[in-house]
Amino acid sequence: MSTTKKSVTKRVATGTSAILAAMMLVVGCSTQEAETSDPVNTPAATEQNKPEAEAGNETEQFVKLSWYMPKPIDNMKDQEAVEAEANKIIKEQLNAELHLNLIDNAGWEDKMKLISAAGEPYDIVFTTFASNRINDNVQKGAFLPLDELLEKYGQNILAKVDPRAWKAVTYKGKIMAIPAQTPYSPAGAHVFKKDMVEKYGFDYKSVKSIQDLEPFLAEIKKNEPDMIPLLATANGTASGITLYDYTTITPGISYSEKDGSIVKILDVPQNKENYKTIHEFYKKGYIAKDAAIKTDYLAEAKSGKYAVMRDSGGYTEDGSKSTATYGFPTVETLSGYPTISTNSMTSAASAISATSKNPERAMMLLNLIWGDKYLLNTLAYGVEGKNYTFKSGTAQDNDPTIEATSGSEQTWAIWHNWLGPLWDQWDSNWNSTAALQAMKANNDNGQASGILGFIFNSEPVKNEIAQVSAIQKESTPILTTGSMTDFEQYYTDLQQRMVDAGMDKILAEAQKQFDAWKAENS
Amino acid sequence: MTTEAATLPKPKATPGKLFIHLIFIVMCAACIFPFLVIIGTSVQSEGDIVKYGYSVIPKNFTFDAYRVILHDPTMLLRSYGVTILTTVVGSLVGMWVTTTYAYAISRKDYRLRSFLAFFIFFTMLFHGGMVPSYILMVKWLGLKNNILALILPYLISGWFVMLMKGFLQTIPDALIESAKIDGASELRIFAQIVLPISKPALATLGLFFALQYWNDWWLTLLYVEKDPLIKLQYLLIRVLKNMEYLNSAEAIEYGLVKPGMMVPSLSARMAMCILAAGPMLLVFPLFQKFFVQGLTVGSIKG
Amino acid sequence: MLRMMKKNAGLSMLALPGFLLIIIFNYVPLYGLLLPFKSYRYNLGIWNSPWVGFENFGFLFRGDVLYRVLRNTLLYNLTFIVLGTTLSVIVALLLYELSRRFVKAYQTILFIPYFISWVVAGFAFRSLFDMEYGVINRLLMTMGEEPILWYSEPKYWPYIIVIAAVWKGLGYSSVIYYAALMGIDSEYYDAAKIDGASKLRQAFSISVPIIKPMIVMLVILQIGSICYSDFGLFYNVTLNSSLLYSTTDVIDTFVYRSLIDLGDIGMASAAGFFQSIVGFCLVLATNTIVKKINPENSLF
Repeated sequence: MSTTKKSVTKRVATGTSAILAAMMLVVGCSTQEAETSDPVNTPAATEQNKPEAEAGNETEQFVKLSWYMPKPIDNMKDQEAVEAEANKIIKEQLNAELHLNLIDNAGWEDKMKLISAAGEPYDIVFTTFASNRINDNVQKGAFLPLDELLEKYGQNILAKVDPRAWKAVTYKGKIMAIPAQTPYSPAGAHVFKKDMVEKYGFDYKSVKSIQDLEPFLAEIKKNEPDMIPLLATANGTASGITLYDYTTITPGISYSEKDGSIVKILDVPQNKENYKTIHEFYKKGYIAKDAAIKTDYLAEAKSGKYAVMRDSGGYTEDGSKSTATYGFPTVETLSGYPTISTNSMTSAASAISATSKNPERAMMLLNLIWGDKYLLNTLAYGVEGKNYTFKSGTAQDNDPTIEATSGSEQTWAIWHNWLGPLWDQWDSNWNSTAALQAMKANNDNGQASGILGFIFNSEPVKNEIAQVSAIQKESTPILTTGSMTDFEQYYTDLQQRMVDAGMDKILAEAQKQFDAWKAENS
Repeated sequence: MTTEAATLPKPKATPGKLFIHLIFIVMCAACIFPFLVIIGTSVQSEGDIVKYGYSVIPKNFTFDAYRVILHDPTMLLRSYGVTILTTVVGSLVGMWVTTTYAYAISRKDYRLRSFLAFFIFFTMLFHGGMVPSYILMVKWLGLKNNILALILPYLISGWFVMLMKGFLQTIPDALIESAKIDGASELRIFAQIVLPISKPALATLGLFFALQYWNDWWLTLLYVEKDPLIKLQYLLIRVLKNMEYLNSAEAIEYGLVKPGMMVPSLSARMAMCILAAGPMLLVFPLFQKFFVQGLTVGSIKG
Repeated sequence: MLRMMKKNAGLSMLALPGFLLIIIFNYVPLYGLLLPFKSYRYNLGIWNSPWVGFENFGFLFRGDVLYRVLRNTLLYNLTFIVLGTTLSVIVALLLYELSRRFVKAYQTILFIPYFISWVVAGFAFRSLFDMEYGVINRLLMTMGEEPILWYSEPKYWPYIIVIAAVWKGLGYSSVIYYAALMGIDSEYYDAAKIDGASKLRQAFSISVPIIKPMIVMLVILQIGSICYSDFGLFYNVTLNSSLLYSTTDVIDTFVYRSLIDLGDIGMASAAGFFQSIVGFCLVLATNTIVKKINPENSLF
C-alpha cells in the first residue's frame, strides 16, 4: 500500500482532530478539578460563619475524624479494638469518633503528596521537618493556621508544649503545626565494645574528639585481626563528625552558633579536619575497605565486628541504651550536645489539614489527647490485657507502671511523641519514667540555637539545591568513610563542584532571608 | 479448530545439537546460581550474613525468616487471593481488549489504522503522571480501595498492543479475504479465524499480562489503604522499605528503633522473594503448552 | 463504497473498548503534562497553579553532570538494544531447534531472573563481587592474586551492567521471538530442506526475514525509551556506590539524587518530560526512515 499524499494529509487531519477532541475532554474535566479543589477560601475563613463555632453548639453534631500517620510497626492488627476503646472516651467527651489511617512507610511520602494534590478531606496528619515535610506542606497550602483554634480549644496543648517550640512551626506569623514533646537534642556518644575496652585498658571517658580515638583504634588494628576498629558506613560514621556548634539551615549551609555567621559547612576548618582524620583512619585500615557501600548501620553494629561505634540515639551514662540496642555489653562516652534547632523541634508534629471539614473538633481531639492520660496511653500502648498489663497501679492512677508486649507478639504501637505529649507516657519497658525525665531535663537545659524559628524558604533557589543535593548524595558516603584516594584533592574538588552547582547563590539567599528574619525578630 | 502442523522430525543428537545444549546449560547455570544464593540466604540466621558473608549452603540453618512472614498466614493468604483474582480477571479482559485493538490496526485495509496506532503509541511516552492519574481514579471515579483500581489501568497499554500487532500482522491476507468472501462479519472473522491460529501470540500476551498483574505493586501503593486488598508484591516492597527505613541512621537517631521491636531481617527479604516469585514459576509451564507451530498454508486452501 | 464503510465499522467496533479505556486512563490525565511548566500549589490544582516556563528544567541543564549521565544513558541503551535483540533472536532460534521438553525446561529457567527484583538481585550479585566474601575475590586470592574492590572501580561496570541487564531480560524477550517463530508456516522449512539448505541457512533465509518486522518494531519502540533507564538496575546492582558514578550514573539515578530531598513534583515531571520528548522525536525520525525503506515495518 503506497503512501499517497492524500492519505498522508488525511492521517494528519484525523490525528490532529483526535488529539484536539481528547484535549477538549481534558479541559472539561480539569476545570471541574479546579472547581472542586478548594480555592483560597479556606475553611478557616468560613469557620466564623459556621454556627458550630459559637459556644455550646460545638459538639452537637456527631462527626468522624481521620488522622493520617505512617505505620509505626508492621503489625497493627488490633486497630479496631484500640480505636473502639479510645472512641469510648472521644465519643463521650466530644461526640466524635477517630479513625487512624495508617500508611506504610513504603508509600508514606508519595501517598500524602497525592492525597493533598487530590484535595482529599482529612483532619489530622503527622508531619515532620523531614517526613511529609512541614515546609513543603505549608508552602503548598495544605495545612490550616492554628492560632485561633489553639486559643479556643487547645488549652492543654498551649500549657504543655515547650514555649520555644512554637517558633519552629510559625510561618509568616501563623502557627502551622503542633510540635510534639520529644528529645530535642539527643546527645551524641561514642560507643565502645566493653570487652575490648577492658582488654586494652582504654580510658574511654577521656575521649573528647574523633582524633582521640586513634590510639585505641591502632591497638585494635594491631592485635585483633578479626575485628574492624571503627564502624563507618555510607550513612553513619564516628560520633562527633557533625560539628555541634553549627546548625544546618539547608544542607551545606550552616549557621555558626559562636559568631552568628552563615557559612558553607565544607569551608569550616574543623569540619575539614574531622573528615581528614576519618580519611587517615581509612588509610590505616581502621575502617572497612568497602565501607562506602554498606548501608545497614544497625546490622553492622549488631554483628559485634566493630570496636568503636556511634550512639544508637542518645547517650546513657552506663551504656545501657546501646547495650540494649546493639545486643552486647557496651560503654559510652558523651561526644556532644547539638543545639536545639528548628529541625530538632519538629522531629514530630501534628497538623490540621486545610481540607478538614471539622477543624474545631480536630483541635478538640488533639487537646483531649494532650490532657487525658488514659486516652493518650490507650492510643499509644493499646488495650489492657491484649497489648499491655499493669505491673503496678491502675488506669485511674496518675503514673502506673505497665509491661507492653514487644517483639513478634506486638500487635499495636504508636509512639507517644507521634501523638504529642511524650512526657505523659506511662512508665514502661518502652521508656522508664526516669528516662523520660532525663530527656525532659535535657530539653530544658538544652541550648537553643540562635536561629531557632528561622525557616529557610528553598523555593527561590530550588534548582541550585537540586544540583547541590545530587553532589552531596554522591560525596557523603565517601566523606563519612574516608574512602577517597587523595583527600586534599578530593576535598578541594568537592568545594569547587559545590560552587559550580550554585552553592554561593544558596549562601547569598540564606543570608538574605536570615537578615530579613533577624530584622523582624529583634 | 486448530490443525497441529506436522511435527518436526525427531531431533538427533548431532554435535550441533549438543553444542546448543551446552550453551543453554551455561546460561541456565548463570540464572540459577543467584537464585540459589537467595534461597540459601533465606534460611540463614541473621547475624551470620554480616559475619560470614554469603553462601549457598548456610552455616546455621534456620527457618526463622519464613516463620516471621508466615506468622500471619491470613494476611499472606488474602494477599495471594487478591493477586490471583486481579491477575486472572485482568489478564483475560486485558487480552481481549488489547487483541481486538491490535487486530484492527494490523489490518492493512483499515482506514483508521495509522491514527489508532499513533494514538496509543503517544501514550507510551507521554503520561500525565502520578497526580492526575490519582485524581482521576480517586476523585472522579471514586475507586479508592476498590479492586477495580488494581485492574483497570493496565488493561490496555501501548507496549502490548504493538506486540500483538506485530504478531497479527503475519496472518496472511488470503485467510481474511476468503472469510470475507464467505460473508463473515468482522467479529466472526476475529473470533473464529484469527484467534485460533494465533495461539503462540496469545500465549505470549497472556503470559506477559499475568506477569504484569502478578508483579505489580505500584497500583496497590497508590490506591489501596485497606489490608485485605494488598497484593503480594506490595507486601514484599513493604518489608523491604520498612527494613531500609528502620536501619537508616535517622531511625536510630530518633529512637524509632526500640529494643525488642521486630526489624525484618535480610533473610526475611529473601524469603519474601521466594514466596512471591515461586507460584509464577509453577504457572509458567501452563503457558508454554500453547507454543505450538502455526497452521500450514495448505490447510486453508481449498 | 458501502462495503468499505461497513468493513471499517466492524473493525472500529472491535477496537472500541480499547479505545475508550485509552481515553479514560491515558488521555484524560494528560493535562499533567502541564506540571513541568508550573509551580504546583495543592489548593490551586494543576490548572490554576502559576506558570513558570522552563524554570523546573533548570537543574537538569546547569552543572557538569548532564553530559555524563546523558552519555551513560544513551550508550547503555544502545548497547542493550543491539546486544539484547541479537542475543534474544539467537536464543529463540536455538530454542527452535530443540524438542519440546528441553524448550520448556530451558525457557522456564531462563525466566527466573525476570522474577528476581533488582534489590534482591543486587544482593545476590554481591555474593560474587563482595570485597571479602565474594566468590570472585575468593577465587582470585586462592590463585594468589590481589582481590579487586569491585564496587570502587568504575571501569568494570559497563560490562557488569550489560551482563546483568541481559541476564534479567533474555528470558522475557526471547519468548517474544520464539512465539513469532512459532507462527511461521512450516511448509517454508520443508521446502528449504528439500532444496538441501542447512539449518543455518534456513535460519538466515527464512526465520530471520519473516520475523524481521517484529524485530524492527521492537527496536523502534525501544528507541522511544532511550533516555529512560531501569532504575533498579543502576541503583541496586551498583549498591549505589558513588565511586562508580562515572560509568553507572544515568539520568534516572541523577534525577533521583537531585530531587529525593526536595520532593518537588514539578521538577520531577520536568525530567520525565525531557526524557519523553527526546525519545519521541527519535522515534518519529526512525519511523519515518523505516517507512521509506519498507512501510510494512513501521510503527504507524
